[in-house]
Amino acid sequence: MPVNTATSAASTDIVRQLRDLPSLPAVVVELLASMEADEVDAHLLGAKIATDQSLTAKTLRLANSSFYGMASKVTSIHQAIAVLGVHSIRTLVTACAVTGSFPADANLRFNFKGFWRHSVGTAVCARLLAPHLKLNPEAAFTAGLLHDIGTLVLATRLPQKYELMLAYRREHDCYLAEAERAVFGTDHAAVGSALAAHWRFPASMQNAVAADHDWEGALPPALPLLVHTANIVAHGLDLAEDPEALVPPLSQAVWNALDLADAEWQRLFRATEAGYADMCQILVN
Amino acid sequence: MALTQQLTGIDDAVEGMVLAHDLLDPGGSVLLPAGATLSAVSLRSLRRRGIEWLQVAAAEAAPDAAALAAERERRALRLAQLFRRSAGVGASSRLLEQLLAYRGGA
Repeated sequence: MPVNTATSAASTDIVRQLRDLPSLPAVVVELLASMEADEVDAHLLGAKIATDQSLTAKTLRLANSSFYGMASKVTSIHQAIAVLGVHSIRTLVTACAVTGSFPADANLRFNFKGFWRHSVGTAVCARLLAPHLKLNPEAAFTAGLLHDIGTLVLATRLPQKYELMLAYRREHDCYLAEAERAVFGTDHAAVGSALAAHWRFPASMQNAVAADHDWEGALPPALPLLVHTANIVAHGLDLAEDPEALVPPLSQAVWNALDLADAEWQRLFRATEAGYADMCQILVN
Repeated sequence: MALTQQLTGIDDAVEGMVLAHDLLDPGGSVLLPAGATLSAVSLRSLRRRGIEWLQVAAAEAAPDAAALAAERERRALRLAQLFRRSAGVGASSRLLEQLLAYRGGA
């Protein structure tokens, strides 16, 4: 879905006004720049990640989580790269950096935990669905993790207005994006896309974040479609446990494109729940 | 199988029930220890002593059918609530069916 231009302009304004937008660690910015390149120097990558200790520690914990189901424990970034591959490690490092860039703030009423549960669930689900649409699982994970990132910008940088927006949503029992457009003049998809641009994520990633909602366009089996679907599944699994949550509609065209048998749906639900619980613990604390 | 306690009137107590706690007389002496299985003889003796209530171990109705049904019902209601706007749109009801099967099978 192309982003509505008025919404898009409003979101760019919001992002521009926010001078204190979090920045990502230098090593992550470099990694992102290489995201669309197939050739990555594994040794150089490892050396760069190793310069950031907390990033290294978290990445290793993730690599050792049951999600990757490795037989033996990896203890260094170089080993992790050797076992899981450059692409997976880049995904994990990015995930650590992104989740670390908006630390939970006890002064805000915003439910950080619920937010990340849903985001990590969407990421895990997107990664699992990627092969069905012949898409790159790593890009799918990152796009899934980022898809609601605009929500964090709105909730942490404009907390009072965010409360108003939540009240509006309660009153109208509407989708979050509808309430956001009514109160902010933009929605978290547009803001997230602007943030992804600020962070210099690849264009495909920015589009996937922007097109998160209301999928009605044509159906190239691309990243936006995948994230859109994973978001719906994650909402259906109720990972955020938000009492006012609404599952967005799933179009018949998307259903047909996925073409999953009953058993595959059940497997997808199980694997998503299992994978997300593990990753949440590492990423969200 | 998890054990829970259940307060049972002496008239409802039957042979084979297991005491959950030591059964004490008014003076604090143990009449029957915890874990004792009630017999016709011990029940008669308890009646004679004027015991009216017994704490017996109740096998927690191994996954209680009623509790399971209630849990399924709760999950189905939650799903209906989550899909309250989208259930009729596109393939949403198909997804809802899959999720119901998933939640129902747990």
